[in-house]
Amino acid sequence: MIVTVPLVTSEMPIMAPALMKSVVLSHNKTCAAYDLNANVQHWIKNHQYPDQLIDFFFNGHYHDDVVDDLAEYFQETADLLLAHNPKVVGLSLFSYACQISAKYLCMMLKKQRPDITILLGGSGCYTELVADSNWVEGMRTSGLIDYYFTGDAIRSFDEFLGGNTTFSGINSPNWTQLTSEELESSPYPDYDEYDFGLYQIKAIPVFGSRGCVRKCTFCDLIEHWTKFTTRTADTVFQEMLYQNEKYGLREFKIQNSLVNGNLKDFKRLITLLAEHNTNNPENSFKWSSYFIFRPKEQFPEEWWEVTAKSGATALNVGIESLSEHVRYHMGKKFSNEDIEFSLEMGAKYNLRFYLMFIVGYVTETQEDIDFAAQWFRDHVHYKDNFIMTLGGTLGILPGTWLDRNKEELNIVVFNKPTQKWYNTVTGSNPQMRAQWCADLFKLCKELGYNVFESIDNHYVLEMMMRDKI
Amino acid sequence: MNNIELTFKFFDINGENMSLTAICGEQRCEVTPENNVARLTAEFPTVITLVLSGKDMSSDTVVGEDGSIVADKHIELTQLAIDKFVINPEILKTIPVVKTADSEIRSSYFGFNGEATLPFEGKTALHWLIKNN
Repeated sequence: MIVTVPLVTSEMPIMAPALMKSVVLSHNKTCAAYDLNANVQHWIKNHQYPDQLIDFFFNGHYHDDVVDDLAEYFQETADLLLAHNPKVVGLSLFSYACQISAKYLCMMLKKQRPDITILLGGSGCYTELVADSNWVEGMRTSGLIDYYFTGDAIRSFDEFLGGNTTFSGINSPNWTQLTSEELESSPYPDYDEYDFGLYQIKAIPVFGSRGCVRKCTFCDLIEHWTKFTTRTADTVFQEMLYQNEKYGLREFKIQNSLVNGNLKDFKRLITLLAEHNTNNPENSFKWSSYFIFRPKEQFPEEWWEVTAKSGATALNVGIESLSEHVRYHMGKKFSNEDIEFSLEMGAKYNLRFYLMFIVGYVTETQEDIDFAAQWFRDHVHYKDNFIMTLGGTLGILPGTWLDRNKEELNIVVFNKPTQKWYNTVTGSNPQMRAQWCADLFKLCKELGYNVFESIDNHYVLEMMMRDKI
Repeated sequence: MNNIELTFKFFDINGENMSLTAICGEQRCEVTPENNVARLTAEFPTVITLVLSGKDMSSDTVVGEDGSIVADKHIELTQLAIDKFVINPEILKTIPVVKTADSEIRSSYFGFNGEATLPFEGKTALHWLIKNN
């Protein structure tokens, strides 16, 4: 059995158990995959004390009102899983917020079935993407789990099922990224046991690539997925057709870091989707993903029109800063003119953007904040074409380029959270950056921009997919 | 029935250690530096008692010229696991109860002759863990 564990704020299916199930089936073994997180979200929504439950799952805090219900939840969930008499149970941790419930669930499973083999996988096994493996290794040495999988587990899990328990990425923080060819031959996820009735967003996740074409200085994802590898547009489209035929769903979340990282592939994909939508108006597809703004020469207007026809509904774009020199230092080499053109196209073709900003990059000064404030004043005519977030100010994540080059950048980091750093030359410090963020937030609200307060960008994209924001 | 494992670390003076016995119901477990894990089974709620001896209060604490403690014969509880669920180390020091002449303190540092107790209240181990971890 392969299941997700709570708690992830997501209103659509989580892919990992369904994908791993397909790997198991390819070995002619039986497997069931459940998204337990969906059941828990449903439970929390209808519970008398939802905040207390969320506080426990996210922070491990105790509340008298819910302790009996939580104990019952872990006991019943373990009973439910064991009722299938599995030899192996795999738990998929989407984020580190899943560690608390994973530990309790493993305890209950091992207590009743000491012989059972428990596997853990997913980004949530680590507190940060590029970090030591203390938590998950501790789970293994204490005997609560038997194996854990790091990174993309399609190949390592496949090897494990074939009897190779020492393959790269098994019980080790070191793993080997899949090649494009291996991604291309990945099986389609099997959602047969998922209850789509539990989800607010009836959409299917599909992935087209891993890694990124950009090397942004603040990003930890590229330290983990060091190469940009892709599936072809035709393969992605075929999977969409397959899932549509099997489950009747027409909306997709393309879980790439960038859907248009490879422009040739992206143009092919939107062409296929646009043609499909034109020829199948009763079964047209919609999709959402992460996106980058490109110069007009690379992506002229006709391609924006095709993007709209392909069914694009919500596009997350990392603008980060409105000062070009700051963006260029980050590694984001698109101009303000490129932003203007993209916003104009979005308005013309009714595409919704979610613009993400990071306030207080290492080189940013008051002058840059003042520039941003003026930009927002000057572009109020676009305020209905996008929603935006200012984030929680820049965090220097372990293992990133910024982290490795702290000294040269005159940055001193003084403890967690990762926003606790200061620049010895510019004087930028956490309080200053928090004030910049607050000032910009207030200004944007006053100007009528739709400013979202969540820093969970995946969740915001899903809310946009539901037209909730 | 729940499996409770207590791991201890011994600090000696001149090669001599304190003695420790962990008691839970009818079970008695002698803990030594070489065999430093007490393995007990119990239903919740339960109490584990640690019986400590072998400390000479006049000579087993070495004090420096400035009055600070240089060395001390003692035992520390370093890990507690219930059914393999290892308790958060930060919480560990808040579990054992040590009664002094006029008060009660919580500590995982045992440098005295006497008893310390580990109370495990709650309907089940799961209840206790959710509350205390």
